[in-house]
Amino acid sequence: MAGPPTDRATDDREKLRGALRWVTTVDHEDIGLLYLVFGTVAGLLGGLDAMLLRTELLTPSADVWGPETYNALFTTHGLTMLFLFATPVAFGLANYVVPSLIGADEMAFPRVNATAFWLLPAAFVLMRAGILADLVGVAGIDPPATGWTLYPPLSRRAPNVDLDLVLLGLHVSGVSTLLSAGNFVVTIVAERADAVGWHRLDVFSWTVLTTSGLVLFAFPVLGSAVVMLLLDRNLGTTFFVVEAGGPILWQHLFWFFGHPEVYILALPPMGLLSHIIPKFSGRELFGFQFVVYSTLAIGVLAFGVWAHHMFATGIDPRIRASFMAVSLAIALPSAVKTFNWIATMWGGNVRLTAPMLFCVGAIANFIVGGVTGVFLASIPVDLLYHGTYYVVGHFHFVLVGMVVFALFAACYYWFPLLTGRLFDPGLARAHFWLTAIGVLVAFLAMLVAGMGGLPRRMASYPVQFATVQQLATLGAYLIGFAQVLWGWNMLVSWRSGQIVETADVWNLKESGAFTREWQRFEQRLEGPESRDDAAATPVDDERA
Amino acid sequence: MTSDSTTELRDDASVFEGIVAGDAAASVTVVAFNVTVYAAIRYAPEYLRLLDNGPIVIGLFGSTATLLAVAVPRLGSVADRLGSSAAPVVGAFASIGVVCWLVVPQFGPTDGVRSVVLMFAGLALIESWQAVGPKTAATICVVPQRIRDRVPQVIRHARTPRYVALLAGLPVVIGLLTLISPAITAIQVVLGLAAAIGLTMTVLLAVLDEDETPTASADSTTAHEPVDGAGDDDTMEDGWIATPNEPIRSVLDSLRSLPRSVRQPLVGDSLVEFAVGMVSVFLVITVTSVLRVDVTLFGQRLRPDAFFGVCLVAEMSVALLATGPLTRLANRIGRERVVAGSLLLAALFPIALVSAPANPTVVASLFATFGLYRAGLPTRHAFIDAITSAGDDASDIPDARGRYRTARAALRVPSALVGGVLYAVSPTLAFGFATVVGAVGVRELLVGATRLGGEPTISTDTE
Repeated sequence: MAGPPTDRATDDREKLRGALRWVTTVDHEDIGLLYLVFGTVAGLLGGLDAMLLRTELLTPSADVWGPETYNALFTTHGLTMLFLFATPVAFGLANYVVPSLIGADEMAFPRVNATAFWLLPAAFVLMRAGILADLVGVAGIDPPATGWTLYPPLSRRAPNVDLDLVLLGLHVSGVSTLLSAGNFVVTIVAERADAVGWHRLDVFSWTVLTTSGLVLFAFPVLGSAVVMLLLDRNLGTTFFVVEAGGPILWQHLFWFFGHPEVYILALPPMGLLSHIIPKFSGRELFGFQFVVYSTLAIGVLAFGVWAHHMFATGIDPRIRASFMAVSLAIALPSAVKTFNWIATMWGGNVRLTAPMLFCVGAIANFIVGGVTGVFLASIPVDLLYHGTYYVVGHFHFVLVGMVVFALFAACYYWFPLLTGRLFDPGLARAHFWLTAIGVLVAFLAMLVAGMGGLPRRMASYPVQFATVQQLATLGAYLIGFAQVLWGWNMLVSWRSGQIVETADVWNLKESGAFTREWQRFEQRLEGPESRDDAAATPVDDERA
Repeated sequence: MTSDSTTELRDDASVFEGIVAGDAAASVTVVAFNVTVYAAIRYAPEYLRLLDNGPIVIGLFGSTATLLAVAVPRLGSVADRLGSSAAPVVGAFASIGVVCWLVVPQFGPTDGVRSVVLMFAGLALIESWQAVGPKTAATICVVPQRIRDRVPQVIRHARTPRYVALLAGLPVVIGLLTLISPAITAIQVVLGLAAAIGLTMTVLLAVLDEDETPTASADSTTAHEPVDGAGDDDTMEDGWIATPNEPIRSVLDSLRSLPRSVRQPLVGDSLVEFAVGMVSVFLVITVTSVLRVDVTLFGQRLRPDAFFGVCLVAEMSVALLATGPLTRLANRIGRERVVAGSLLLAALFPIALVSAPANPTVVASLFATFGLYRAGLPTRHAFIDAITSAGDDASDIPDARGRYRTARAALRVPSALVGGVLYAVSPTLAFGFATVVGAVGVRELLVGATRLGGEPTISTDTE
């Protein structure tokens, strides 16, 4: 178990100056920031892909960028958002706050931590190589156009060299994620302060722990599948030819990773919601234990639902039925969380600050995204909606509506902690409302288009869907402009925002919710002289 | 802590002092929306043409736009009653108007009536911003006081920042029109972006306004003075300067009572204005369907519609750069000479354009020359103000000026429709007729001015 928290500035390891500091750092807070900046850049690029592909869909004919470019755009959008944006940002936040939350002074393996991060830029370059090659004018490497799921036979036969680079990039990002996950598991299991027993572990750390467990089981399968596909493409192996495992083998392997990946993306944000909502409700998290149990239940069930992505492939109906049952069952722990969040706010002293607005928005969106998911889990409904915009609307409600909202909530909640400055709250509220309206318009329109039977991943579509597609594009533009506002707010506030003088920016002490990450922040603000006293202060129950 | 703690932090001025990120963002979106709406309106005739509408519909469209620009400000009392919520309401209307335009092609050429109705409905909604927006931005509370204090010039649409904003925004429009084909799709993308910017602006104004203290909103009706040249657009006339509720008939009666030497230059001025009104909605379709100029710039082929954007840039640049020199010139050689010169250029521009060779340099130069007409507007306003205030009893002066402007705006309303009817016969006829009307106007002005002063009046003040 680790000793009392130390002031970062007086850490034993001396930091280099300037850019070298950032390249050589093994400090968990520095690495957390690096993850956040990296994830933000990737997210903005992925968002740009989304804006461009939505622009293509503004008109029924494929005339803005053309079908090939459109295919490339939705592929890189998916790959970038899932592997280079959502996971790194969640891991960045976890890197920054989990050690403080559990009373550790550092991650268990700082150098592994740095290695995990520095693999990501390499993965980024490999996965976006097609676009980079286009930019610098290298011929023969085109952006992939297979969709992020890389289904054979297309992904096996397509001559585009860039697909190999994408597969390598996926592999590298998988290794990075595995290293990081292992580090989190060891840190949370072994580095907790004496005062932090399992029963006192905070809910965000619980979700990070569960997520890391999921990563450890899911990503090796992705790594293997990716290598098999690489071998098929380059060395003439036959893993995914029809006479051998067939394309269905890829789908099993991919989704055995892919569905847990959904929860890898969703659990830390759910933890953030569980962590932040009580802070602005003036109460403890309602049903803390059940929220933790539901996290663990999701962690287990996540591995039993993958074939619901394959209901339309013609697999054995009995297998389908069992996967349908588990898919419906996983709605229960998700609902437990939702009801607990609502119950936490019920009768509480709710303060609608920017982080809380995003939390409330996340719950609302998660309900829409979750309930549409329950419908999709049912085989007969799925057979109708498979491959339509309904699916796209569903997972965007979850991934943007809940995951990204929770990340924004955390971003605003911890912005003073990360930068020592305050953000512009008016702009943050505008950012929230714009994003919330944009999400509703864009993704409800997708649900409607899907219910009309419009297939996804098509650059052109029948003219009767034009209005609903244009609405979706408008919503997407709104989301895009909102993020410009967010970026502007972050940059301006980081540079010249009001400097934080007292650590309790959110008035958490009043309700006893001044948790460890803020206590450590307070010690840093107050300087070394008060450190001994502060370290001796008994830590409040983390469930607050 | 009982309420939103971020708001409390904000109210505590010391904490958030100096943070203007939100205000700056709101100002930028207001300006960006104005630029995109300007572009949308300039390209609307081309959009109508691509949707298989003839010149008469386009002319009617232009006339309706002018009519709305005159009529909508008379609803100022409505905006007054809305108070600070006028901003989001009007912004939302205008954005929905742009969405109407965006969805028009789905209603297709097969059903012309529905698509035309939708275009006109969209126009009415957009004009609610175009006409009420800039006025109320300056006078009522469309833009929160705090933001106006921060960037007053940009919001109030004084000439220079307005042209600078347009010159910054138009290249983006040209870029989109160059990158994307066919033209109708490109225009739809511009409209999509415009609608999204409008909605962004709406949300920003609505949310940021919450922070405003009531006292700040209360004194927002201070700057009632019209900004010179604020209404110099084809569709955004300066009719709003007029006394709001006076019937046009009595306006005309009172103008008739002015002495002939004053009336004649005013008639001339109005005739040139009418001539410009006849052709202005048809400029874009002249470039795209009569001249069909396309040009290769920086290795990119620009379609005629993208080239029209270049022409607009030429026009704006001259309008921006030549204003100062023209005012100085007016001080040296007399206002009426400069006014007559710029009006003469405006009168000759239509016939020159329609008979010009399809050479990009020539056409762009013609638009640049037309920019001189815009550059001459401040001088022209000063001239009109000077003659309407000369030789009349002092009490009636502001009324005469206001009435004249109302009358001129009203006269301008049918001009686009007349132009459209003639254009349907032949573009050359419409543009030639416009030049004739403009030339008669210049003659009237010169005769009147000579009768007024005999000698050119060297002005001592520039305003």
